[in-house]
Amino acid sequence: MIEVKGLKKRFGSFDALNGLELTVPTGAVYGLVGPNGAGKTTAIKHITGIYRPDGGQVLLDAQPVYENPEAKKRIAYIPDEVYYFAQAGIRDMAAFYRGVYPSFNEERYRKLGEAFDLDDKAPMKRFSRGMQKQAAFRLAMSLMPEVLILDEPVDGLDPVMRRQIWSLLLSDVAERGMTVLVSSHNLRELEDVCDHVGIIHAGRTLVERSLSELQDNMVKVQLVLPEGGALPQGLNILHESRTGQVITLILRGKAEEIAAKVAAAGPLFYDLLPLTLEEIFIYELGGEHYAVRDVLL
Amino acid sequence: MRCGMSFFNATVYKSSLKRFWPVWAGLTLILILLLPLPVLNAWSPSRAEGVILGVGSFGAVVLAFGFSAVAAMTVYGWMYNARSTGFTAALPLRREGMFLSCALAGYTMLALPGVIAALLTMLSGAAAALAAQWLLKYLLLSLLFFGFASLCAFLTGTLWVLPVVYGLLNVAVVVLWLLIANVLTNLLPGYAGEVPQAAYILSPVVRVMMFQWDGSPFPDWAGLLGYAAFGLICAGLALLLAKKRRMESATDTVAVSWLKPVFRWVFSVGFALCFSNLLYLLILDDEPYLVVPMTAFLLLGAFLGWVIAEMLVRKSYKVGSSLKTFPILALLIILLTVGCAKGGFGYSARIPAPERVKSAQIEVGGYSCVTDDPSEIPGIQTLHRELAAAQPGQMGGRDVYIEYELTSGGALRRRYSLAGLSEEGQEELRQMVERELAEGLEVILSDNNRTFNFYATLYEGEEYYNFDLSEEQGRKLLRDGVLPDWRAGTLRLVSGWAFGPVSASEEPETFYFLNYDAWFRGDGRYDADFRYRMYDQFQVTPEAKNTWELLQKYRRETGKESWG
Repeated sequence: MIEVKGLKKRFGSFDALNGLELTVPTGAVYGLVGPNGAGKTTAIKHITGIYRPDGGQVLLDAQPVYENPEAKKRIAYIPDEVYYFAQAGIRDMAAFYRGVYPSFNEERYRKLGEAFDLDDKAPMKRFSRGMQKQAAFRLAMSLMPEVLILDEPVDGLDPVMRRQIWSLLLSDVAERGMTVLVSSHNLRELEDVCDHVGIIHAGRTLVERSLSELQDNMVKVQLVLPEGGALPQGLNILHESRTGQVITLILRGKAEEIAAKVAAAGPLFYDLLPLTLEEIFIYELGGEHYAVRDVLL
Repeated sequence: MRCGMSFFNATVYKSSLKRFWPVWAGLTLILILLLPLPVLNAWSPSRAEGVILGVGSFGAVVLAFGFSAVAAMTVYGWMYNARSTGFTAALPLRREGMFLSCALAGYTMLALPGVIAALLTMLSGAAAALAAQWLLKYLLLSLLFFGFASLCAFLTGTLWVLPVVYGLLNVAVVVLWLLIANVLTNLLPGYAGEVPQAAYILSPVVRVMMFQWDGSPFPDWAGLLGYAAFGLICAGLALLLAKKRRMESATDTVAVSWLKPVFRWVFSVGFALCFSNLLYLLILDDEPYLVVPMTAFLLLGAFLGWVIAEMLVRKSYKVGSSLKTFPILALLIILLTVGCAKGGFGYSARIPAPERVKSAQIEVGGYSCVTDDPSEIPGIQTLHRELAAAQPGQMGGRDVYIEYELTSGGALRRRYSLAGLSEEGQEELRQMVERELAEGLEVILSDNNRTFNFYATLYEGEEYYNFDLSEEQGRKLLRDGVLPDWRAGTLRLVSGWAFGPVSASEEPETFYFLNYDAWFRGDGRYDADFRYRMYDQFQVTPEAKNTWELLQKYRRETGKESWG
């Protein structure tokens, strides 16, 4: 389990992280989402032990990660922009990883070579961005990590390769109990693979739950009220819009309780719809004054 | 592949050597061209030794210095961009392990080519012992320079800054001292402007190069060992910085947060010194003691330096808010310049009590008078007082140096302008110097271990001709001509040389210039311990009767006259 407790980081006069709290259960696929500049990459660089925290701590199974090779051995990290030695091919990088990570698995490295059709010997600098990502996945997964941390992992990959990679990752999660922490702006994709989600904003945790809990706790209601009818009292309305007589509400709360309250108001018509992760993201952040602005140009 | 030691990782070490093979392969090639190849081609053992002591030794310094920076840039190169920093810092390696693996790889890149070149030289059979000494020197120098480069590598987060910082810090103390000395020479009356030996010692590459220029390539093993130890200390400091380094400092000009204000101040002061010296030379033609312009140049230079330093630290052109502490530096500069102009807080006028003086020396135009006679010291101090009391308008022109050796073991050295002395004072100084010179002439005349070269030039109006004298003639001329005339006050040191230029109107129509050099008999080398000048020149007019007559006689006897 990864625990991030009260993590703080300051760059000059800018507070990148301001008491961030995260808990990533073992074996979870955890989506870390947030607006641009929220602190996702900074958080990841702390979780991988790259940055030294200004405050708080990052623990992997109760052990600090920073300057702890024992913890770092269990973690593989694929950043947004993949790094490789100048002139190095996949084979050269594998030789390096082999010497540094005790868990490097030759058999897996060989088998993954079949999944990713890349020239082992060719310098990685000649690869496209997507090919470099594939190479990074091949190398990272050969380390047999207990924790895989991904920052914008599928950027540059074609749809087939995306599906291929997620399939490989999820099979590792299922078979080996690997924990995956993934930061991405592609919420549609995260919704398909994540079982836990943490939304962060301005260096703080806004909400952190399992995806099902998150979806259970927010409901979209469409209703039509009779002439002179009023919205029922006691609803926690996050957003309200009207199209003709149809009122669309985004409400926080349990679906059953909301349905009961709405029904009690005697609407001509009402329907409860589940929210997508993207909608949850937008409406949660709306409460933090981060919403789509109506700007006329 | 994996090493059990947590402070060393063989994969990182080997990977660094493998990836950056052109560095050590190139160095190996250069060293082979520099050492074993010329030694093999040498036609004699002494010629082979000459190669090692000459180009080989010089090359060891230059290559160890230059390639240390290159090696540091390669093995620590991962620290200078966010991607490579992230990759490396996420590896399951202790920072000590990463540092040591990289540092050893860097040192191997330097040492291995040296070992190969030395072994090949030894195999050639010529000068094997000297080649071993060369190797030891090269390895020690590599330790010094690579340790120093390692420390510099951890001070910055930008690759190109590393060689700049490394190069500057290698010469910084001497250069800064020279710049300060030049500013003080133009601000502080009495300041003698000498660079202390410690400044050279603290500037490793300058010091090591000086060994070469001194013609002693393997001079001071204790010194070299000391420098190698200094290199190790630098590497130790680099390790401490490596442990504390923040990976987000990649691309920062200054990677150590507490060094940022230090950098701002040092850069600003250094820039002020360079800038003011340059402007003073270009605009004011090095005219001394112009306090206001010098202060203005220093302030302008400091301001520019401050702004540039801030831009480098912030990586931004917007530095307005950081200028609020600049007035402190400006105030310090004004206080120092005004303080210097007002006598440097007692520095200019400081004269030691006579009982504290072991010996005193006054020197002008290369001629000096040294005395440890307590009855003569007050005479020098009287001149010292007059010189120290000179006003700015009396400064410039020929310098007068006064140096006291104190009973406490220390020394006090001052420099003033001859123009600060009254006519009487100048006459007093002339007599002191001439007395000393006359005594010196008597001493060397009585010393048969010296040989003299004499030649004279007769000027008659616009024409002149030269003739040589034999040593016997020369000795007789000094003994029977120069010294008696000198005592009679009819012969003097050429005034234009020692005491300021003589205007053309003061020059006599007809006169001789008599020149002599004093040499050791036998080996032809200058006597380093010789207390008196070995080269002197006299202007002889008919008034100096004895000298004039002898010169006229010898001119006729030589019979070889070359007119110009």
